[in-house]
Amino acid sequence: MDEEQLRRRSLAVKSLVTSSLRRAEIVLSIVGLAAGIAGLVVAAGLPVTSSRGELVANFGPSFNPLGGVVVTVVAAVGLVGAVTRKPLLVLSAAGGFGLCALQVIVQFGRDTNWLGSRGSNLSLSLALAIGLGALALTERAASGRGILRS
Amino acid sequence: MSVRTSGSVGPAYVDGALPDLAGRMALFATRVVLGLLWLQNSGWKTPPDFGRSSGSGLYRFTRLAIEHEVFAPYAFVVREVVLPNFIAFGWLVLFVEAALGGFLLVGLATRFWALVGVVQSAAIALSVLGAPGEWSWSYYLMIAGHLAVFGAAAGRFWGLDGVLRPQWMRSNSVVARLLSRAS
Repeated sequence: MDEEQLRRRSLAVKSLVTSSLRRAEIVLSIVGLAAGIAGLVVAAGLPVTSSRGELVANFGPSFNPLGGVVVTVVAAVGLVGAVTRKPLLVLSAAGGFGLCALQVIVQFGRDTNWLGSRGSNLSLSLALAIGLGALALTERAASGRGILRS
Repeated sequence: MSVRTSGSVGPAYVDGALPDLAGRMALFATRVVLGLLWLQNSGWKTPPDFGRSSGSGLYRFTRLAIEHEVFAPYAFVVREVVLPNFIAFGWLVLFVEAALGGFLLVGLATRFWALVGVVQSAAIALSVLGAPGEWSWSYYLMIAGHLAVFGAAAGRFWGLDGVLRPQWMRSNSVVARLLSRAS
């Protein structure tokens, strides 16, 4: 196999890998977006930073209006990053969800709870932070070094 | 379940056989439902005292291991180790269950977390199985569900394991090798 064929094959593999990574980033961002928007809907009527949020569909995560806005905005950043192929934006969204997880650990069960969150929000935020973070880091590695060098 | 064949798919499928579409959908649904189970149930483990002062919540369920003993050595550990250090135990339970929900939902390091799920389900069973009104089969089903997710490496079907595993397999880094084994 000559050098040109090798280069073409590398580019094809890179394109395949990054497209599946991007698809996964889009799906995770949409999940976050859906959770945030659902949070905004159920929390309508609550004080903006109510320490007790409202449950989404009686199910798990709870939000006050600020919590709904924060999750929606962070997920939207991830979605824009995935669609426009900017892993740094996706990584920023992962960091944002990481901060949401930290907020639960610090404030859940206390009088001050800025996002009206509880343990289920920790689970959801962890899923999105770790998922988007792993995908964005892998995408950077694939498009930068790993695939093309091997 | 009929099978289709594939190339190098890793230890869970040594003969190269993979589930068909129905099988993959079933594994995906099982993994996500188990993830949602833990996500929902991490919601009522409430710090800072996890129900100790009111005798409710996680504290009440933990005490059931002593009040309605299922397995004497486990009840001994709960009485002598867990209850005297209950706040630390509460945080541990919250972190483990939140992480179980998160990792199983996105399908990352799924085989490892499925085993953690087996252990956690068994611990819950040993706490509450003897309490009045408990349906013991629910805990056996939880254990069986996690074993199925572990055995079938369910994160490889519409999960992040499936997306990232090819990269891990190509890499020589320790982290990639560990993740490859955990997926």
